[in-house]
Amino acid sequence: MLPPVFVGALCEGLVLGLFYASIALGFSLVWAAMRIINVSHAAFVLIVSYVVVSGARIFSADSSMLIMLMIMTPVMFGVGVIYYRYVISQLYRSPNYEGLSLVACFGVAIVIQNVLLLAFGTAYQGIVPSFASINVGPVSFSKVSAAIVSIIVTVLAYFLLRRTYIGKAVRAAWQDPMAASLHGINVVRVRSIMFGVSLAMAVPCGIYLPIIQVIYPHVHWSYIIYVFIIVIVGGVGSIPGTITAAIIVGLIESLSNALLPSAYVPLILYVFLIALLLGKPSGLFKA
Amino acid sequence: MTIKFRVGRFIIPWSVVVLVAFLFIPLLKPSQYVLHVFLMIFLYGSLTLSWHLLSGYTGYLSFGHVVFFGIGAYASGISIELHKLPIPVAVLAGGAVAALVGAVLGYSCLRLRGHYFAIATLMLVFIGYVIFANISDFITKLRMEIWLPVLPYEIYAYRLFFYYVFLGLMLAIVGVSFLIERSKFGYGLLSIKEDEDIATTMGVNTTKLKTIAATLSAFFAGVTGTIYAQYISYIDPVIYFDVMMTFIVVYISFLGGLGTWIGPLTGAILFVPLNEALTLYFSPEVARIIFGASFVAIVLFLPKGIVGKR
Repeated sequence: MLPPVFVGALCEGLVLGLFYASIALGFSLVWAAMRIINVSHAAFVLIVSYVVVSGARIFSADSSMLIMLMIMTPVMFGVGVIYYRYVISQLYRSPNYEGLSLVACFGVAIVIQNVLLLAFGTAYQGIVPSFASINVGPVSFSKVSAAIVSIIVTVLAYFLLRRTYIGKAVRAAWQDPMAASLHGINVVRVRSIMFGVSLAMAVPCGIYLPIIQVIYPHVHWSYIIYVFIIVIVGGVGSIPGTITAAIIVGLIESLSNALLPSAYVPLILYVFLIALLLGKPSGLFKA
Repeated sequence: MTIKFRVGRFIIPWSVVVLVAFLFIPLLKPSQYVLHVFLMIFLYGSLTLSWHLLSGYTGYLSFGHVVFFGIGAYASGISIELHKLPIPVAVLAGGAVAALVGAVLGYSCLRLRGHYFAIATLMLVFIGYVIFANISDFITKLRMEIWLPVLPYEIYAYRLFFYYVFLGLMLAIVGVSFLIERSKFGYGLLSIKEDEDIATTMGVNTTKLKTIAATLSAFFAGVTGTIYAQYISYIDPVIYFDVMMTFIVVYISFLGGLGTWIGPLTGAILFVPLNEALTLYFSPEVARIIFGASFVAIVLFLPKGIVGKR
């Protein structure tokens, strides 16, 4: 029989992994479909978190979560479309746009981080919803519900990509932008919609972020690194790979949390990523 | 196609004039604050020029350069605190340790291409922070920060001393860059930037060139770190393993333009006074917002920088 600490860590890792998967998925699809490395992805997630935290001061935490889910999903979709149209699509003029996108989005992340710093200060913030004290086995219900929401988002993304007309257009532009545009697909428009969807997909995890961990303006760096690890392990653009890799990362995090001082946990993940990059940069799964 | 280092016709003589003018600025008896601003120009100039030795010439954008800055500072701090080495030896020791780490990391990370290299080096900043925020108490038996002895000068002479030390360091790196740009080594690095596979086919030992460039780059970053540690006489992982510092280095070189030593120099001369003014009259956050936004604008609309080769 396994010791209960170990079982707890396993469940926790599984749930955290599913949560990370929904952050990583939008990033991974954008990277695969349009060769844009959006380093500011986690910073946009953090904007949603701060909106929810401020909403919780006016309403209760629960209703703030629900209201902001309704408001922020279309808002982030719009932000994504505008961001793509006026910033990201300009990058394609340069031949090495993939590397430049990383550099430019780095600048955007710095802007968002400092706007949040001006608006909300450096204090650690979080919200406590009414269901935080309920436990499901060894894991708290807030984490389980985050995982469930994350699964719903993933399934929706999968159906959007596989079963709808716009998903078909996205996949066509992904395989060959030139041929897609010859067949009457407006590539810029399809990609901007895809970009908006990638940010809208991040809204639920932005809402759950201040419940699961405390937030502060530069916490998005540690999340973007988790996202990098997940995407590189899982292979760029692969939905099953991303989910599997996210669960692996969640398990590594929770198990090393149970065994080691908490300060060393990110170190293990970073070393894991660098070792992986050096050994097998194409990832463990086929994209 | 020929590869050349090209800038506008009058830029080289003008930058030499500016460099010589730096030597004589203290004769005007500027205030302490103005001296400090110039000092910061030389600091960021040295750091960016050392970054440029690898990333500017080969096109491998490193986001982890600040790690060598920090390693140099810590190595010198530890050797002064624990082993009581004299300061000049400690400065060189800091540079040597940084160069060693740079050679190892460079040899391993430089096998990665393009953005994978950028991601791996960005990761190094966080690894460096975690390591030095937690492990340094094993090595130093101190807290994570180190206080260094302050040099026995009165305050104006202290700044003046470091003014010339930093200027000398920057001139040294400018000299190295100048020599590299006119050597076979420099052309080898440029050929890596143009097309690494063809360069390898043509018989350029790209691995060796990249590793040497990474080592040189890390060495000078380490020396800059040790001298900066002496100047503020304080070492702390928050200062030395800061993502913002990495961003500033990349910002300065994109602002000035990649490809020649003049780019980073111009970038530093423009960036530091602007940063000081914005920080003074508004706030550091506003300054960073403006730099972040202008960085995106530079990448989109001025990809060659102000003086970079066209």
